[in-house]
Amino acid sequence: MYFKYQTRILLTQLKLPRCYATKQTTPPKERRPVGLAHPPDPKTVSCDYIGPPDPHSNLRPYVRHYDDNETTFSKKLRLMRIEVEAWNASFWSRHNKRFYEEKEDFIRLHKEAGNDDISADRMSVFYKTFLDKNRRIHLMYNLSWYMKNFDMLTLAFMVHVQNLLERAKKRTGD
Amino acid sequence: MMRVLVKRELGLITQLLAPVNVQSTRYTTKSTSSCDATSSGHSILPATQLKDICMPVSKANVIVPASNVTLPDYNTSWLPSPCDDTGKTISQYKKLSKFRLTSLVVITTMGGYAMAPAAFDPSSFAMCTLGTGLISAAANAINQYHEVPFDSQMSRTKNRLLVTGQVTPLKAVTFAAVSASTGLCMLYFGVNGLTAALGAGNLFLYTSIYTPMKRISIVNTWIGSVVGAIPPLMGWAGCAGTLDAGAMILAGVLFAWQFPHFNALSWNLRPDYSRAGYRMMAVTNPSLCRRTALRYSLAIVGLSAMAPVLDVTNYWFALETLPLNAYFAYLAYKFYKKSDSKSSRSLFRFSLLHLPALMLLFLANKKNWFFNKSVEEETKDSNVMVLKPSKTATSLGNVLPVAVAEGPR
Repeated sequence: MYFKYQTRILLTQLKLPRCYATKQTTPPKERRPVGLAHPPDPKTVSCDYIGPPDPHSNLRPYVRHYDDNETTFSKKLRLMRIEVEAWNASFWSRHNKRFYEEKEDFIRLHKEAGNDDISADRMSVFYKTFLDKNRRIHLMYNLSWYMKNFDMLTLAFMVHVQNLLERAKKRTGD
Repeated sequence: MMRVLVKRELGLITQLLAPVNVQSTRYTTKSTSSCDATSSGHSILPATQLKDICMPVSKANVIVPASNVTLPDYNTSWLPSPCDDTGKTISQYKKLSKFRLTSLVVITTMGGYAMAPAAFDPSSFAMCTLGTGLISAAANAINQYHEVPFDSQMSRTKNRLLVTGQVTPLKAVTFAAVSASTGLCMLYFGVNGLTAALGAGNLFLYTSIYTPMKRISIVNTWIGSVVGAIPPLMGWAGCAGTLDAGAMILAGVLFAWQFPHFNALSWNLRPDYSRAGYRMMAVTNPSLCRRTALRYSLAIVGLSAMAPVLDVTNYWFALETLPLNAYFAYLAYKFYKKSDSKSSRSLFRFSLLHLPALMLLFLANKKNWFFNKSVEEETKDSNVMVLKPSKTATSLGNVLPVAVAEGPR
C-alpha cells in the first residue's frame, strides 16, 4: 500500500429501505445461524460462547476461545476467567445444594411434628436461620468475589488496550 | 460438569425429535409470512421474537437449525458472549442503565427543581436532569457489574445483560465511568457545585455502601432510602443553590415512600433473597418489615400535612393529598394485618402510582410560581450597592469566556 487508507462510511453500507417502481419479489432471506446446541471446542470458535444456566449453580458456563497467536496477557486473562468461573460454580452448587437439603429437612420436621400446612411466616424462620448460619461464609465469598472480579476487570482492560494498539499498528504499518 | 452437559444434550436431542413450542400455536400464521421454509405446523419464532437473539460471527462452527425446530434462545443454547448485534446497542444501554428506574429518578429530580423557590432556568434545568440521569445510569451499571453471581440466583434478575453474557464487564464499567464523569461534569459546570457534590455522594453511597451492605445487614434498606431521597434534593439545589427546610420535606417524603415500596416488593421474593444471601427485612425480620411499611406510610401523611407550614405548598395541598396518602396507609395497614402475596402486590402497585401522583400534587399546589418581583422590590429598597454572588444556578458563562447577562433572579 502506498497511501494511507481512510475509513469511510458509504451510503451503500447502510441498509436503507428502498422504493421501487414495480413490486419486487424478494428471495427468501437466508436464515443466519443463531446458536449452538452443544458447547463448542475453544480452538474452533472465534469468540467466547456462553451457555444455558447450570441447574445446580444457576450460573452460565463460558467457553473461552483462543488462537495459536494469543498474547501472554490474553492467555492470563483466559485462564483467570476459567478459574474464577469454576470457583464460582463450585461455591454456588454446594451452597444451593445445602439450601435445598436444609429446606427439605425443615419441612419434614414440621410435618412430623404434625403441622402439615406450613405458612409463609413459618418458612421465614427457616430463611432467617439459613441466612444467619451462612453469614460468615457469605461475607468471605463477597470479599473474594469483589477482588477477583476487579482483577479480571483490570486484566481485561489491559488486553483491550493491547488489542487496540495492535490494530492501530497494523493499520499504519501497511 | 460432564454429567450436566450430557443431561443437557439429551434434553436437546429430545427437543429436536419432538419439538414442542408452547408459543407456536399463537404465532403459526405470522411466521409463515416471514419464512416460507416452514412445512409443518411447528413454527419458528417470528421476527419480533428474534430481536432477543444475537447473531454470531461468521467464522464460528455453527449448526444451522432445521426448519421444524424452534430457534435457540439464551436459555437452551450456546450463544456468542458479547452480543455484537449493532442494532441492539441502544436497548443494551437502556438495560444496563435500568432505564425505567432512571427515568423515575429523573422525574423526582425534575419535581425537586420545579418545587424550589427560585426562578426556572431552562439550561440549568436540562443540565440538572440530564446529569442526574447519567449518574443514576452509571450507578445501576456498576451495581449490575458487582452482582453477577447473585443476580443469576434470583428469578427476577436472571435475565440481566451481564448474567446472560450479552455485555462484557469491561463494557459495563466503561459505560458507567463515561456516564458518571459526563454527568458529574454536567452538574458541576452546568448547574452548581452543591448539586455535583450531592450527585457524587449519591453515586458513592449507592455503589460502595448500599451494594455491599445488601449482603451484610438489614440497615441497607435505610441507606437505600437515603439514596432515593437525594435526587429531589439535587433538583432543589440545582434551582435554588441551597437546601432549606422545604427541600427536606420533599426528601423526607421520598425517604418514607421507599419503605412501603420496597418491603412490599421483597415480601414475595423471600426464598430467592434468602438463597442468594441478601439480608432484607422481609427475610430476617418479617414483623419489622410490616411495621416499617405501616409506620413510614403514616409518616408520609404527616409530612404532606407539614408541607404548607414550611411554605413549600399552599394549604389546599394538605387537603388534596389526604385521600391519596390515606389510601396508601390503608393498603399498608392491610399488609401489616395480613401479609400475603395479594396485599403486598397491591401495596407495591399502588406505590408506583402514588409517587407520581404526589409529585403532580406538589407541583400543582406550589406556593409561589414567580420570583422576579420580590427580588426587584428588595434591590429598590436598599440604597447601598451590595455585591452578592448569584445564589441561583450558574451556567456555562462561568467557564467559557462569554459575557453572560445575568438578569435579576
